[in-house]
Amino acid sequence: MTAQNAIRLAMTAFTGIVLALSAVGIRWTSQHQPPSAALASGLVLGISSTFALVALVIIWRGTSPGPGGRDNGNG
Amino acid sequence: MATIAHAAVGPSGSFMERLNSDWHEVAMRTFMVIVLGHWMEHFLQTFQIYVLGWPVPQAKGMLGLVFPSLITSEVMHYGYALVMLLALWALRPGFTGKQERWWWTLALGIQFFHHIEHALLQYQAASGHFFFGRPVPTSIAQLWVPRVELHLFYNTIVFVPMIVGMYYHLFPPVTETGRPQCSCAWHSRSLASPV
Repeated sequence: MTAQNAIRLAMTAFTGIVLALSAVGIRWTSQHQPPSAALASGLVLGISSTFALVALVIIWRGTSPGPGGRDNGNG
Repeated sequence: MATIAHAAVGPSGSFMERLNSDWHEVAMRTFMVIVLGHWMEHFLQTFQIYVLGWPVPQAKGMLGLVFPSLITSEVMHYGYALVMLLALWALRPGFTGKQERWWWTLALGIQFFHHIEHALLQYQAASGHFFFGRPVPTSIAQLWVPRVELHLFYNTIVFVPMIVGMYYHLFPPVTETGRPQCSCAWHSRSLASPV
């Protein structure tokens, strides 16, 4: 595994936790908070999820290191 | 594995110059440990509420269970927000590429507002004068969004641009022309720049 992919995976794991907690949070707040608070919570948790998804797209779409670098993708 | 060449300033540079060159990699790693540790506390707190079903006042993360004042103290929250803001600002000059700097600056801007929110809470806790007629310290956005969700949100929208900036810092696009001053990059763009 390249260093780039290892770091991508670590970032993905952490971002994945944000996504999972946001998803569970939207469900929980809809059941346990007054409607207006639940709406606001759902909104911010939804935006958080969007940010996390954007990060995943960017780091996986990302860039390829050039040849001859500290890690050129050969492991 | 090739040696990375970068424009380090050497021992003659000022503290800020050295922080953003020779010490940038170590400083960034240290900062990340602090940021991830803080994140784990937020993750645990929300896990305790959303998954374990604990009442919100009892969900204090991990350290908060042992040291409850860590959760209840506004000084601690404000202190962390300030450390975060200062670190984002102090480490920013080391981000010499266009994209990495844009994302890092976005994180800095959002953290500035997050820090203002904590400053308002800290002022109310210290003065005993609570805003908006509330019985507890209340920040502006807290008028609409409950505190746990609000701070999960703030930390996410600061953390995401941070990690994107860091990703570009570690693996700069081949189109980047900025000259790195530190040894953080795993990429070879610095080899093209004479020291």
